[in-house]
Amino acid sequence: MIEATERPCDEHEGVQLLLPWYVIDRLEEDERERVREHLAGCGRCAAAAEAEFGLRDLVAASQASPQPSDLGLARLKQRIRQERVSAPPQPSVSSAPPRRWAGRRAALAAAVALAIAAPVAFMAGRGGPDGAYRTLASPSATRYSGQGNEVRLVLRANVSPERMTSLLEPYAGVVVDGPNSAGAYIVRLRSVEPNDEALRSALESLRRQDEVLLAEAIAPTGRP
Amino acid sequence: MTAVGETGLRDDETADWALIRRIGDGDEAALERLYKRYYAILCRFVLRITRRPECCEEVVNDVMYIVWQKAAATTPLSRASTWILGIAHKRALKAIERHGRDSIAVNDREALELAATDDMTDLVSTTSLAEKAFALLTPEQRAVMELVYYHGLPYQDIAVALECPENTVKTRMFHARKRLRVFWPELTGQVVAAGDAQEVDA
Repeated sequence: MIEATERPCDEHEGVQLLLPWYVIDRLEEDERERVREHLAGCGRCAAAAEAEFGLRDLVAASQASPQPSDLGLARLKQRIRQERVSAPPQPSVSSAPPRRWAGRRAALAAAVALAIAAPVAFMAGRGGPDGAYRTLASPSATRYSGQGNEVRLVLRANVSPERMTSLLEPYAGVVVDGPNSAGAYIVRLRSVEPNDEALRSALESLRRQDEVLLAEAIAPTGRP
Repeated sequence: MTAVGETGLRDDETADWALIRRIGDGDEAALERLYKRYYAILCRFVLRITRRPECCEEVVNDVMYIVWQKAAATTPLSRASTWILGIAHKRALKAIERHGRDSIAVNDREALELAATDDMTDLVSTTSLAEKAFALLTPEQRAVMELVYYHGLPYQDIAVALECPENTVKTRMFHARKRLRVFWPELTGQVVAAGDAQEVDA
């Protein structure tokens, strides 16, 4: 502990509290001068200030900084697009879904989008009780409007809104609903006749696009 | 004396607010630029606070999502980095809550055991001495120390970022240094323990 003769205590205390900002040169001029004057006459505090430099260097150098992750950015964009589609832009965070759920939903959507091909092939032969694809068709995001030219679409996580627009442009496609928690959109292909042949042709064309992970028809019965 | 601030953020505060204004207009490209600019900084800050690498990306994603949501309604009263780091601080503390305070990271446990033994021979022989030392601090103390010594923020800015009184910032730093005194000789090459002078009320 500090010697009683080196007090007044308040001055030591005040200087000790300011030392970290003294060594990084982030004090107001009057505070800096106060510390400087004190250190000139107090060996103990001056030694503490010297040690503070070592601590500063240690903190600054002791941890590596990772590089930005493309996957992380893709997940963020997907999360934002989900918000854009499901709700109009809101300036306040209070209107957002609970953070924890939002994070899990985004993570789930990204995970499903990245690994969708195999599960879809598997599930095609074993739908739910009503034949619907339960993994991709949550009730809130896959309401079928009765139009015969609506399709369910899942895109890669890093597809920009502009690219999505260009993908749908040949069919005058508009997003009717979604994405759901699995990243699936319901899209109406307005220029496609609502018959099997025209729709099959449009779906085949969409599936040839690299960005399209899943494109399937939605039948009025709920079966693809 | 040399000011810290190796983050490189200080010189581009105006540009950052310009990006944030564009984000408020719904510009995804601006968000991507801000994300790439802050990713490493935020990861480091979150990792320092939480000491859980698995939390970093999730928290950074949360932070940038909040920036996206709040950008249109935020007034640039502080530096952009101060605002963003403040959001990151809150999210990091929430991440710790989610993971449970009883699930102490392995490094934390090791550090506490080593500190309890006062066996400096063991301490000196460890290569991650600094990390073990920081494990002795509370998340709030680690946040302040990082904001001071890595970001070079004045205590006034830290008080804004952490939404607490300036004196709280000073005393958190003071007590952090006190907790580190067991490591002080090895950390700094000094025999004097900073903060050993007198008590300061938190």
